[in-house]
Amino acid sequence: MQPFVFSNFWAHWAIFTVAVLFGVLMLIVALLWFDRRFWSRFQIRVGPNRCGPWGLLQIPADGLKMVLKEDIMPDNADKVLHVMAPVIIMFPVMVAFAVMPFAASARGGLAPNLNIGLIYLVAITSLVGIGMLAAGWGSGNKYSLMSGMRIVATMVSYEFPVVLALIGVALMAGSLSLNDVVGMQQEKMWFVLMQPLGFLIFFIGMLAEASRSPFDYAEGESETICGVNTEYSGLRFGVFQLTEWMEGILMSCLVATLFLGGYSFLGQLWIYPDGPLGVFIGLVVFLLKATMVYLVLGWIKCTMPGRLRIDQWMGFAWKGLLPLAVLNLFIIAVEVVGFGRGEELPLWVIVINILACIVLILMWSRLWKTGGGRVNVRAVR
Amino acid sequence: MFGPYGKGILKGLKVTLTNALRRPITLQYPDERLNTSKRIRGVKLVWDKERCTGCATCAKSCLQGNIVIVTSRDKNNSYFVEQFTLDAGRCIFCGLCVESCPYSALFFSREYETVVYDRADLIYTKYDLMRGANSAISAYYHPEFDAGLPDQTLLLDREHKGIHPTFSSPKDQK
Repeated sequence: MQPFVFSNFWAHWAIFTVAVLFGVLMLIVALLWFDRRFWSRFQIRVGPNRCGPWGLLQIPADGLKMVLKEDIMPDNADKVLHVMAPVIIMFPVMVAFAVMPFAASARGGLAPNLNIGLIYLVAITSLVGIGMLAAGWGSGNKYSLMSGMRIVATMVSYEFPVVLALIGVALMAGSLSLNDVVGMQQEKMWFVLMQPLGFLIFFIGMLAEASRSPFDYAEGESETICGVNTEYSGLRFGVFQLTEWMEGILMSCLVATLFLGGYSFLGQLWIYPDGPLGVFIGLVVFLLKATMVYLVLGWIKCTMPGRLRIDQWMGFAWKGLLPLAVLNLFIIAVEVVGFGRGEELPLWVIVINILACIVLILMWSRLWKTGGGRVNVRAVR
Repeated sequence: MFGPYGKGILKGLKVTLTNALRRPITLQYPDERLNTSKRIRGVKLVWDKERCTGCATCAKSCLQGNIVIVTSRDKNNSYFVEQFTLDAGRCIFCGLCVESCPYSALFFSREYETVVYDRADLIYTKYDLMRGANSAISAYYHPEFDAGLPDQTLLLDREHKGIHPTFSSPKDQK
């Protein structure tokens, strides 16, 4: 007999929808505060600590300021697109959280077990690119448009390696459902060990998809003023910022789910008790993992604040990541066909895959040389 | 042999992480203060009523003409300083007044936090400048004060919480 909140449809709907929407928004506020304190340590300073205890009210204060600011619409903007773009951008990121397995669902948990979860995620997050292009076009500003085009180019290019890495995950798990992916990791081992190359490709690709540093072409303040955000102000700009942070959180949740075992502990090391307590422990474990990934994103941002040139950037996607992703998929497919998928897979493929990861990265490292910013003299003559 | 396989990125990550593990060097200013130089040229002067003879050498040496001295003759037939006014808003902190005083009656103050709403508030009368028990006297041109002052700190002294009551702020004096 399941508890009432899990058995009754409307109770589940209310709890789940409200909790996830509200929880994600709260998560942004909390993580952002944590992140800002964390970033500041990289610059040997203490970060915001004036507003409320330990600066906890800094993020609400910033949000309030954002809401109260004047909303300016450029004269030559495409009015409809300009207004719609923030909504188009925010909606898919928000909706993508619907399939996120925050906690164990087989025992009566939070996430609905959508059996095409991975396809849904890939499809719905691609909509962000459309919104970005709409924002760039609708602003009536050439730099915004250029930035929008760059984002779309980035998203299209990096979608391929990301999806190929996801297929590797789906192959190994034998399912497209995120819950099954987590279940398989609980059965065997974290996929970050089972397919380290896939993890690296997915991580780098998602950095690009989520416009995180060092791939933040969406903003690109040294090249395109402020990117697609240039003509936005007030609440709409706030929506852009919110979406950026939500994409970061979505990315860290995805990495935690697909490669770090989601709500499960390390393999079968710790099986949670049944019932609400187990669900709660799973939720806490999941949030801790996602937070750790988010902090790594901040670490990367602090280490590499700059961007690559756009041609190097595209070359990296098409010449570096895509062949690697195909090879990674090939290796995993061979393993799955040879030894059986999921639970039949012997654990020693971890060693093979880690070795393959190292060898392939070393082999491909020659291709990643893109001139190092030097002008090719022969080409100029 | 092999190309850049991300070695530079890993190196950079290590550098930022080692910096992140350092203690922040931020000075939380109103709560924590650094010790100023012992010979700081503060925004005020400290005027010793007992030593001043009203000779007005300071007023003559002032390049800006900031110091106004009005004297009268008292019953002992010596100068009585009726007015000693300093316009700190026009002061260039050259220190000539302090150096020229033949009776060591004029010193720099160690205060540096004078913020006012009106320029007129920066014109100090002799009652603002008069040397008292809690006057913060700088050792500028007067090294005899050196010994009593705390050493200058350039970084926050965490062991002593960084707070040295070297002087009270102007608000506390009022």
